[in-house]
Order: sequence, then structure tokens, then C-alpha cells
Amino acid sequence: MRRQGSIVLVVVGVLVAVTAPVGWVLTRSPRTVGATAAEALAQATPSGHAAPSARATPPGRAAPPGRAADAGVRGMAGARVVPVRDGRVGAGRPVPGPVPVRVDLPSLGVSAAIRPVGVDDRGTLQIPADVAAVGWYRYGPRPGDPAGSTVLSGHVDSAEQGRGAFFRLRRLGPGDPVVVHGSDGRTRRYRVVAREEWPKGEVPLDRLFARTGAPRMTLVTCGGGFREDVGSYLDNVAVTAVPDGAP
Amino acid sequence: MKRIAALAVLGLAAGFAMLGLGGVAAAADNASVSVVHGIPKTPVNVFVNGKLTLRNFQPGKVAGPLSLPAGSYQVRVFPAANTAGTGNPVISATATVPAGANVSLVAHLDTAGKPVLTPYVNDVSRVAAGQARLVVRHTAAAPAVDVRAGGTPVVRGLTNPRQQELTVPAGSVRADVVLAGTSTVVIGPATLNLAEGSATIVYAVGSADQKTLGLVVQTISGLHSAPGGVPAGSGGLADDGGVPAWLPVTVAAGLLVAAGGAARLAASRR
Repeated sequence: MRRQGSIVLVVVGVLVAVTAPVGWVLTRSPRTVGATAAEALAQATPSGHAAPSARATPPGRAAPPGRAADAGVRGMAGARVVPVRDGRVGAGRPVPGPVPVRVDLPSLGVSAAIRPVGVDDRGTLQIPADVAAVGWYRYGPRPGDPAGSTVLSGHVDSAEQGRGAFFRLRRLGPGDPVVVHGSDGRTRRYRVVAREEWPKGEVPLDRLFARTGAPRMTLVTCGGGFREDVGSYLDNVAVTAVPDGAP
Repeated sequence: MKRIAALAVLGLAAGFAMLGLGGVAAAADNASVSVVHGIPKTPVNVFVNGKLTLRNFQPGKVAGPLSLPAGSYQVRVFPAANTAGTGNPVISATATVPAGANVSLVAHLDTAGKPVLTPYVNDVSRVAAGQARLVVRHTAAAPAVDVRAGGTPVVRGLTNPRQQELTVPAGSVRADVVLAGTSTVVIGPATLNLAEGSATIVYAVGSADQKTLGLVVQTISGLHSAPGGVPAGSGGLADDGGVPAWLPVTVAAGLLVAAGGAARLAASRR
């Protein structure tokens, strides 16, 4: 009897020791989902904006027609029109469009203010000093622009201030909503199509910050393991969202 | 025999080289060509290889870009009243357009005030994130000049038809043009918007004698780069690099139970 009980203990103990790690590996959510979809968006030609010249002056940002691009002139082949621009100082300067001012991530219960950011002295992306705020890369596309990736970046956390606005960004998955409020009072709704994670040396920065391809929203933060010695995470996490109604 | 083998290898290598070059040439064959009008008070018609290409082209305007095959082009510029393209042209020149290049053909005055056509190959290499390229070209009938930004000379001793190039942080600059080494302003000041990831090419045009000096601006966009990285965390609160804390505890507990059972088993046998 005592013998039987001992055998049961051995079997149960070994089972627990083996199934716990196996179960963890099998049930943890994958770090990257929808990478193919995100890559395809970067390659896509936005509908109605096939002409490369249209890129320079997207609707809503261009000066009134007739100032930026004067009457075209008949081209060499007879049918081709050569665009002619006014070269005076200040002519055809883009009229600034709306900027994003707030982002909501309803499935995480997050609502964060957005501040325009650029790059620091070393050429890396600025992140707002306040970890509760989110940065918008002001050199890239604005929400509502016909093409390219609008980038919002936020702290996952900071040593001084604790959890940041994007602390749980890596919990977002395909189908989750992203809502962006603009300075024009308009609300633009997006849905997540991809979540990706890379070691910092392998992040496809050119794709995340592309000003071409389908219009999309890219939310970026840090993730993966943390190196105490340098006070920095090893990975970047990016969530890609497309406008509601986009295919 | 050895020599023949060597020749054959050379031939093969040359063949591959030509194939490779052919591929590159086909991909980046056409040049992107713009035409800049920098001659004051003279609307013109521009004929390229005998064809009227730009009709009633006004001073201070920038036409293009046109995608053109590489090669030599005969460019003849006539007053706007002349639509036939015969008689005495204002300018007659041959412009060589290199394959794949971004070229500006600039109709302007030389130092002596004579109309000429100068082809410039534009630097369309990428600029770092947050930066802008500023190119200044002296295409005016004027002596050497300095270009100042916010009162500080950034380009010194520029003469017709030379150019200078700078990479600067994107943004607005208040610029003027002075006689070289002096503070005698001959053009401006003017506020230039140097857009991030773009080249802003500023032409000094006109004639000092005729008091028609001014600026013409051409911009080339799409030269941007992505930022170098996204440093968005320093706390370590979201560290998920390793296994969760419960996992080693559970494994250890399981092993402990198993070991206990084994010990009891061993004891009961004795």
C-alpha cells in the first residue's frame, strides 16, 4: 500500500515537472501575428494615387490648385503634359493639415494625449518625456493622408515614472480597435491587422516609417527581455492598424 | 593552352559584366529632367530636338520632372512670340543627360549677362531623419556672393555658375545674399522652408546691373530616411525575455514530489 502511494507520488511529480514548461510553451501567445499583412501594406499602391507626382502634394495639404501647379504645358509627345510650378519663394508651400491629438485603445482601456515628435541628436526617434503621452512622428504622414505609415510611439515604461501609455501594447491583436482624434475634431477608426516583435538590431525601420504604401497607423514601443546593465529592452514591438473599411 | 584558358575566363567575365551592366541600365535607364527659367522678364518657348516642349514658359517657373532616356538633347529657347522655332534663338545649347540621373536644365544669365543653359546633376541621395538638403546655385549676372542664414554666412565666395550644398536640420531659415565678404545685401532676406527629407535648391537669378536679382526655388522630395531606432522603455517592468516566475517554481515542486516518492519507495523495499 505504501509502495503504491510512493509510485503515484513519483508519477505525479514527474508529470507536473514536464507538463508545466511544455504547456507554457504551447499556450503562450505568439509574439508576431500578421507580419505578412503588414509587409503587404507597405508594398501596396494606395487607390487613386498611382501617380508619383501626387505624393508630393496630397489632398488637403496642397496649396490651392493654380498656385502650386500652374497650367500644364503640352509635352514632347504632344499628349504628355509637363507640370509647371511656381519657383518663387514660399509658392506652393504645403498647407498644414490636421495633426493627431489623442489615441484610444479601448480593448486595453488606454486613452493617451499625442504630442508631435522628431528625432534626437543621434537620429533616434524622440519619445515624449511624459510616459503617459504618446508621440506622433511629425515628419511622416498625418492621419487621413492618402498613403504611408503614420507612426505613434509610446513608452512601455520608464525607470523613473513606471508604466507608460503603451505598457500593454503587446496584448493588442488582430481585430482590436484603434481610435485617433485629430486637431480638426475628426475621429478616425482603425483596426489592428498585425503585431510584430524584433530584436532592436533587426527592426524594419524603413517599413515602419515608410511614407508610401497603403494608409496605415503604426504603434511602436519596446518589448522582449530587459537588460538591467544598460537599462534598455532588447526588442521593439509594433502594432499595425488599417482604417476601418479598408480591405 | 594555359593562355587560351585565361582568355576564355576573361571572355566569360566580360560577358557576365556586360549582362550585369545591362540589367542595371534597364532598371535605372531614364533620367528625371526639370527645366528652370532664371532669365527675368523673358517669357519663352522651349524647343527640345526641334519640338515645342514648353510654350510660353514664364520666368521664375520650374517645369518637370520629365522622364527622359539618357542622351544628348538639342535645346533651343525662343522668345514667347516665336512659336515657329526659326530665326535667332535666345539660347541654343546641347544638354547631355546621363542615365538614371536627376537633372536640372537651367536657363539663366552668365556673369556677363548673356543667356545660357547650364545642366546641373542633382544630389538625390537620402538625408538623415530630421534633416534637409540645401543647395545654392549662382546663376545670376552678378559677382561672387555669400549666402547668410539668420545673418551668419553659410556659403562663401560663390561664383556663377557654381553651387554649394549643405545638410541642415529641417525647418525655416531667414536667408539673404550679400556681395562676398561684405554685408551689402543684394537679394532678400527671404524665409526658406527647408522641408524634412527634401532637397531645396535655391537659384540666385537675374542681373545686378538691371536690378533684377532674385531667387527661384526648386524642391525634390522623397529623400527621407527612417529614424535610427525607437528607445521606448527603461523600467524593465514589462520584461518578458525569460520564463515567467511560476514556471521554475512549479517544475521544482514537481521534482520535489517525485523525489519524495522515490525515497519512500526505496525505504519501503528495505
